[in-house]
Amino acid sequence: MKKILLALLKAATVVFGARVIDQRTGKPVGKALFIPWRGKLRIIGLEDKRVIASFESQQRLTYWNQALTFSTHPEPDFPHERKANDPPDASG
Amino acid sequence: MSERLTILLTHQAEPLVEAMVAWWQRHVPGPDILVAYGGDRERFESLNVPNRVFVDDSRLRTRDHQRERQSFGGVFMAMNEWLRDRPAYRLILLSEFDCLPMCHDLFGRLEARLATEEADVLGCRLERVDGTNHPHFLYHSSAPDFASFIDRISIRRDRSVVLAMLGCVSFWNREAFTAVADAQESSPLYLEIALPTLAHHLGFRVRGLTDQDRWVQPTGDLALQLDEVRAAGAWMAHPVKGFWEKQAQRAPAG
Repeated sequence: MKKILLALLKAATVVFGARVIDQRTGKPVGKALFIPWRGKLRIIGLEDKRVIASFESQQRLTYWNQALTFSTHPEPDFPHERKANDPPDASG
Repeated sequence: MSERLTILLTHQAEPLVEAMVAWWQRHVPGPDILVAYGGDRERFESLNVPNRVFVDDSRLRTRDHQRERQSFGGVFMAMNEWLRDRPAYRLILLSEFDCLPMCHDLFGRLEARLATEEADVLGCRLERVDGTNHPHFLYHSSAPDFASFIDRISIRRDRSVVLAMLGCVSFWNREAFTAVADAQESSPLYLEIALPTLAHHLGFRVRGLTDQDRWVQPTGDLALQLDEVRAAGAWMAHPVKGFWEKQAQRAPAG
């Protein structure tokens, strides 16, 4: 039963889902259904995409609506920090 | 003794493990091979391979890997113990049994990439997942000890970073491997989060093999597409099911 429901939801996402754009790159992320449920917003269809939800900043002050946006992290590219910053117990 | 070590993690029956080791020796010559065995103790005792270590860790033997937070902590600890008396090994390839090399010079390619990237660890499908809808991140962030564990071990300024990568294949320099092995002892993390996140927070540079991601997949079976995958430029393929069964039938070990 659960599998059937999931398959139906996925099919509904393909047909009725809203296009989600990555605000960092401007590229489409995929399609998703946004379903209000018990005071939360359930998002269906982005299970293979890694997105961060945040409210969009406003260039013009607006009280009556705000935009919820989605963006991705860039590819991990952090420097090696071990030599410069070894923990105290490993330095001696 | 070589400077290069390939660790093959498996739980399969003896003939399959022996066929796997013989195949790796023939097709990816150079590195020494160590079998990390996560199967039955009795089977391990009768394994006829040059190097082997038994991994006695209940967190490796999970059924629902993600929900039970399957760990390579026991694998790393057992390997670390084995490596302690073998200081010559400098580079380590950790591969699960169903990840198949697609080129003879796999180790050399990984070594060159490690140098080009000035990295300490290479992995497939590496991504930053903190703050995202990544299911493993969300599952971990609900645990009260998750953030405090990262905070305790991290030498980085930004302790919010959480990385994820597949656990089926990774390439390490010795220092990073040893440090992560030590940190894993108390790790409550699922291995796909643990390996890159621990390495990152211990100060090591972790980089993704992004050009290989399409052939190293979390699910599926590439067994019927190996020729295409190889021709397309794959260094390795995952998952490949039933390969060692066929090898064992063709050339019985011994």
